[in-house]
Amino acid sequence: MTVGFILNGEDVVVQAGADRRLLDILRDTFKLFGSKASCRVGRCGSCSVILNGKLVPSCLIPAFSVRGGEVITIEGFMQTDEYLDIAAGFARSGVEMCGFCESAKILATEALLDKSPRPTREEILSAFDGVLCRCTDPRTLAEGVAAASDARQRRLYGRAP
Amino acid sequence: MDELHNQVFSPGSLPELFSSWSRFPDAVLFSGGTELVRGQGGLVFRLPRNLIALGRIEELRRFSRTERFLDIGATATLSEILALGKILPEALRRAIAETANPQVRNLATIGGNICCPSRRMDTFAPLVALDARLELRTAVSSRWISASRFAPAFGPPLLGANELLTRIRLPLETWDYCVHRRLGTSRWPDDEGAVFSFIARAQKGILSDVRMAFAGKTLVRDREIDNAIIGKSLPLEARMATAFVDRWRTAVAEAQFPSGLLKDRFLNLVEQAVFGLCD
Repeated sequence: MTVGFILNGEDVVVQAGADRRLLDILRDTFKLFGSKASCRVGRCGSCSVILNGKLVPSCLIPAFSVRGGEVITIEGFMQTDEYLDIAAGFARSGVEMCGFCESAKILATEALLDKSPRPTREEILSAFDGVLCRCTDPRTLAEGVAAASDARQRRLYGRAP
Repeated sequence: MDELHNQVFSPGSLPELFSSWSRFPDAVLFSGGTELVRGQGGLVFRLPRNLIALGRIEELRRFSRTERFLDIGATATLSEILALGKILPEALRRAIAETANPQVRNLATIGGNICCPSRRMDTFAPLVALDARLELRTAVSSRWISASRFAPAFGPPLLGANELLTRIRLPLETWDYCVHRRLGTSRWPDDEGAVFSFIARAQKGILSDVRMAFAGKTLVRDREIDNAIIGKSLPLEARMATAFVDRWRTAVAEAQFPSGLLKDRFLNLVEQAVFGLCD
């Protein structure tokens, strides 16, 4: 089957069986290794990507359902100003992540800030429910997200909160 | 058609969908797909030969609201429903918030949650308790059915051949008391899991409505027993609460449950919920 979609801002077309996972297409066909293949059943979150504006586990997405959609992986997201806000916030709070969950935590932060620019601590913690990795202390992570939110407010509105 | 084996149709409207479905009656509907691909950790998915993807049908993902009802399209995702915020009845909001994780809730749809053939999923108990109604359509007809009649005590939901769940209608009523418990080893569906919903409201200190539902592998609901404490004054007398629990104990004594443990846990939840009205 021919599947056309927008990947990190570019139109792409791929030949893939309907039963292939988006995760494998990203990794094998496009050599985008930022989304990690771990549990492959949607529980760990390490393969998360943004599909049509929503954070989803790419391991649960069959190829045919991406047709006509827009996918943003960590590689594409790193080219944006929004990524710089998150990187600055995480750096300021000393958030350190392992290589497996890093992309998912950054994209989960973006999905949260997109929905709720000034998230509460509870919102922050529940946003990471779907990223199962114990490498980062939740308190530091919450501080990092709050700092990322501040950085975004400063960039967008030119003032500290 | 896919050169390997799957054939996927993506209708843009309901007439197109029913037309594809009449040509391929064995086709399986695909919306969020979380149930269809659940637990498939292999290199490729094992998908049915023919699939009908519902993602392009706008009509199926609409929300509408009147003073008395909230209508939810069957392919609305759990996240979209959760985002409705305070208009959502608490029992349903809590059930959705405890389902899987945010990423999966962005995919899973309420229609898939209701129509899951293997067991009643997380939203089913609150929908039954809230007396939600479901719109079922075929190419030539449409009917409304209450959520409690949609599913028998055991087994798959009562969907006719080529019948599609299109809308869920939730009465927008205020409930003063809500007990929601999710049983199971994790946030993911398993045979031992179930959801318990108990809602009640009072007017001038009198219990005016009580509804309870328990759904997992089995569906438990009995309006007659619920009605036994309606009209009693609050706080409820302990002997009435005890009588209520005893009626349930008798009712489920012969009922088929996946395990004795689940039956005991159900009765414990009934006790906790009804004795909560005694405080």
